[in-house]
Amino acid sequence: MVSGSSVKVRRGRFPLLLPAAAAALAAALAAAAPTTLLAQGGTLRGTVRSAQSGEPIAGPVVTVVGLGRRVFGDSLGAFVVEAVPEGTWRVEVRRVGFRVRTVSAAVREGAETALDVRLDPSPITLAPLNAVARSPERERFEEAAQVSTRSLDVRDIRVTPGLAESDLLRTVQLLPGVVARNDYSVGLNVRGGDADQNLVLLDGQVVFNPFHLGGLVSTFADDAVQGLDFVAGGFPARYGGRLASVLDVAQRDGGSDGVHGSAAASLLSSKLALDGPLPGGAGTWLVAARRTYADGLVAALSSEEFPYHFQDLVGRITLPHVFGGVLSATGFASGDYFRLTLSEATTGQSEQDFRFDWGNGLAGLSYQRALGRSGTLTQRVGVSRFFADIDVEPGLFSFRNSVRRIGLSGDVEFRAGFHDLGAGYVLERHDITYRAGSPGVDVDFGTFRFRPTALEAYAEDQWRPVPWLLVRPGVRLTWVGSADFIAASPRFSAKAFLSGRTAVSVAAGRYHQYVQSLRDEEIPFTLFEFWVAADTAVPVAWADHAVVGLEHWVNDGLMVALEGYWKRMGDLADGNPADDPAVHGDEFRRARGRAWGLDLYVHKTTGPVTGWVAYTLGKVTRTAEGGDRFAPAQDRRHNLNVVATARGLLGAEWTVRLGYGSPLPYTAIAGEWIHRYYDPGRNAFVGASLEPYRTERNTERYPAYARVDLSARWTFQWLGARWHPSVQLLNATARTNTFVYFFDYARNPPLRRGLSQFPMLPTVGMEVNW
Amino acid sequence: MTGARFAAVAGLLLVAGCELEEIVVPLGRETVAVHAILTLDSAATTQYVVVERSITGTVEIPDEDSLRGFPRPPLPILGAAVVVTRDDSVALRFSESTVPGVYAIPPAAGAGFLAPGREYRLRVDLPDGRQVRGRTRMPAFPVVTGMPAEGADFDRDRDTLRLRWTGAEGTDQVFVQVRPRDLQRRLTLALFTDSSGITLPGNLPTPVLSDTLPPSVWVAGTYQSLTVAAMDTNFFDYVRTANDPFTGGGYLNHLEGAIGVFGAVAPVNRTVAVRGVVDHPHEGRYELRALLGADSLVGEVELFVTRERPEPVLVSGLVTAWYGPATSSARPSLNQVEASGLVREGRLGLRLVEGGAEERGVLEGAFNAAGATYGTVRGAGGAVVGSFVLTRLP
Repeated sequence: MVSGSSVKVRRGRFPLLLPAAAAALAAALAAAAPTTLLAQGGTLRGTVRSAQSGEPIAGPVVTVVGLGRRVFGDSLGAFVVEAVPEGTWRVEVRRVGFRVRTVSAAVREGAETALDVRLDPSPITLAPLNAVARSPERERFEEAAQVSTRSLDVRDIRVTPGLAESDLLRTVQLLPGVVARNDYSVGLNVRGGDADQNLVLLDGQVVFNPFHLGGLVSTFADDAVQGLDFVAGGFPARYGGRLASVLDVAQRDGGSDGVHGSAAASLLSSKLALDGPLPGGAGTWLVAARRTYADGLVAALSSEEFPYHFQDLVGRITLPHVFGGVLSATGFASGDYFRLTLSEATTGQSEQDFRFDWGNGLAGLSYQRALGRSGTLTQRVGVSRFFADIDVEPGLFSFRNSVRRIGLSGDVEFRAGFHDLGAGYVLERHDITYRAGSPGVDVDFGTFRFRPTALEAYAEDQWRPVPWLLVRPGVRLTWVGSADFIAASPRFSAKAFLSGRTAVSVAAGRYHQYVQSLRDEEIPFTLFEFWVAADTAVPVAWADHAVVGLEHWVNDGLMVALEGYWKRMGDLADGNPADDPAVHGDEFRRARGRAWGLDLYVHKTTGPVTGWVAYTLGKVTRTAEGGDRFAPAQDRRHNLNVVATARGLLGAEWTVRLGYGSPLPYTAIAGEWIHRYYDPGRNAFVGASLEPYRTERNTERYPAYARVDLSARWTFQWLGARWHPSVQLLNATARTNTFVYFFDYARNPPLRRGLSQFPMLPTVGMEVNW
Repeated sequence: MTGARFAAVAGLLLVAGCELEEIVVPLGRETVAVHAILTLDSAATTQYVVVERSITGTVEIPDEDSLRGFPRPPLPILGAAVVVTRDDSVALRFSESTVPGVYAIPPAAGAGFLAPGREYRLRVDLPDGRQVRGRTRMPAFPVVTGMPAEGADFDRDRDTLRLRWTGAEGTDQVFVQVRPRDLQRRLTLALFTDSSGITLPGNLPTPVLSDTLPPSVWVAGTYQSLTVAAMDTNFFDYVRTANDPFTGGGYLNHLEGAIGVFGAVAPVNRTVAVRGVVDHPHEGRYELRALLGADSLVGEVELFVTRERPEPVLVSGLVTAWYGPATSSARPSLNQVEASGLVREGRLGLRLVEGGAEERGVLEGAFNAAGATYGTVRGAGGAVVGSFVLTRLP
């Protein structure tokens, strides 16, 4: 991840790109600079690190002053200067984003002198041998043949208005290609895909259900996040397991210059983050927590109980000196907890409680080290888990859902000439269990279990045969044991530079997904996903992507990208409501779909006004197994989001978000029937309820959606800390956007009622950093 | 339920701020609804089929409670020809009953018609030419062990029923239900399971606090029916699925030309008299004497507290009573009389029901749990028809 104004070590995404550029530049410099022939001499060998974090700094420029020798360090900051004459030399070390440092080094004949150089961060300065510091998007434009990829850093997330506080997933919803179904869900429907088709990673580990409050907020605490990459389609061979997109969230490392912290409070939750160095400079640590406080507040002010709270906890430890590489550990836990007393204890009867808990957890280790001067090895191991437990105590009803993934993965990247080669593997096992029963009456309502093992391997090569062309073929092999499935998924992308600022890209590929969710996407809110895995009854879903794009950089801080996409999907698992419990194999039906459209993205990162414009013109269709073709709930023809940030009134940083979405489909209710309840003990229909029945599926459309949000964020110093009060106003124009309609045909005349999405919602918050 | 109150208030505030304006929409698209369940229960007095129109905005339904009880369709379809044909072509024609939209056959007419394993087809020809068709297969009775004898006692504080069954052919699911005999009381337990047994402890709670639902499945002082029924696939889908309000879909309908059900059940039914440990000052045995005009009612009430908190205290009682002319010593006994009522601020209100359906009167008076309670008896319509005395027995 490369932030906007400083350069930090990337972890595993495009580590070859910086040394590739550095190597090319070094070759040019070597040809241009004078050289001195030396019979022998000594060797200078060292590592350049950040004085603040202790992290290696990729691609430093190391000059032996007076000798006319200059070398570039590799992606882990290591450098070697050979054949240096004996004597004391001044060694100058540079890197954009850091202060230049000159150290003294004594070189002896035939010996090696070790240098450990620490650079202090500084504002960007242009060095003669370095390009202007590049945003991740600019770097990707120049160095990678990859389409549909957007990067956000924590600042983008923090300034974008959210529900009471900034929200990572709500910010991603504003990017091109993403449809947000409604204000109550942070689910992502990407280029016509379903919400379960997105691979969500936190430091390389899978997160299954990153939602709180039934999908209202995400589980990512932004004070621990460094940034994210979002790939909306055509992703390369190194990514697999999902059909629609990849959301790769990276946590930041702790600082090495003492303990720092931040605390924040909004109307929704309170947060605390701390980070600092490990003892002896062995590394850094970071821990961040978030929790709602309504229950505590109610308990403190009254004798009542508020039945719900959620909490998140993340942590990261980075050890940069482990066997020549960097070892990092990430932990994450999130949970929603709902408790309700259904009935109090009475004569002959104990108290009865309702409990509903759900949440995520993950723990992962990642190790990265250089392989020689041109390669990088990354190895990861991790466990991810989702759980949902419902209990009606004592023992009346119990529901358990557990999704667990254990994964081992690794990547090797190697630069050879004009080739950037990559290969890797993922070995993972899922254990998905659903169990419902009534312990009090010894009844098991059902148990379902899926335990697939999958092995995936990929290889890719990004090749620059000529300076104006990047070609990136790849292939990903997928084997799923439980489904007896094996397939090769070709991937291809290419970028042709029309100029130094304009390029045309194409990408295509086949994708597979063997863990899918059965949640009915037509229901407009998300509690959590119901994951099932491929086996003899559940298919492995597939998708084909094709993307064509044009990207133009007006200047280094303004880019415009236009992409057309086409997708088809098949073997999408759809629950079969008509399944016969006595028959195994009819639990699921297969659906297929198509999507096509155009994404326009304008991103401005410099100047007094920054932000982005994202517009999508899209169409999605689904075809159920019986041939019934319909528009799914995420079929939105026009989707526009404009986010603009500028410093303005009252000394605040103001952000305005304008959102527009054309109408989404829904199924109209045609009437209600009296669903009568039969008592076999009395041979009588003794009860009844009114139940709707529908017209054809999704043939009606809600009204168009529009919303304007405002946020203002101030900064001031006080008591040695930086304070950031903020104000947000969601739906500043108080527009009524329809959430759902309800029809009441038991009235004469019949009526349509409904619920709207967010009303005008003002919120305030405060953050302090020290 | 303080937490529930907060949750409800928070939800209401959210919804109140987010409700859309109510608008009038055109009338809906009518469909036909048919409910028909064939039962193998030999005690069933009839088999019947309900044929009605769906609700499309032409009538007002005040609330769902108004739909409870024996079907009285608000939009009945009259003049339909309802025929059930067995797989050997033997057919039974259902006749219109006194209730519009309800078609029935008396048991005599259907004697021997229903048998396990046989297939049955429903055909309803509507006066407008539309037709409804359905098909079902009658399951066999499950063989249940652990079932109490008819009329047996069940002590909810000490007893546990352990039921096991086999031979429930039809589906591999069985329907289990516990219900008060009194039609005015609500169902306390209903579930289906593919397990081969179920354990019903006496103190099994119901999960909802309600003014109308007791806190436990077994209610001391009542007669309760226990049913274990084999069911066909249609009945199984009919009880386990429903259309949701967001998509209008979800219910598995197996009828052609209508929505509803044509299913079959083979129930094993038992009625038990539920008692419990006497551990509350109100609980115990009382002698009841009531004068109702020229008649008198004499009996004994075993009174139990159903729910103590919150106020009022709910009570139920098993009544052994005889009813007849006050001047005669020979009074016939009443069949399975139950008392249900409450004690509020020292006043007792007790409703007597015979056979789960016939109300015999409502007793009202200042309650004296340790001695004698005097009061009035009200009949149907609320008029005072007599007086009573309820005396605590040692």
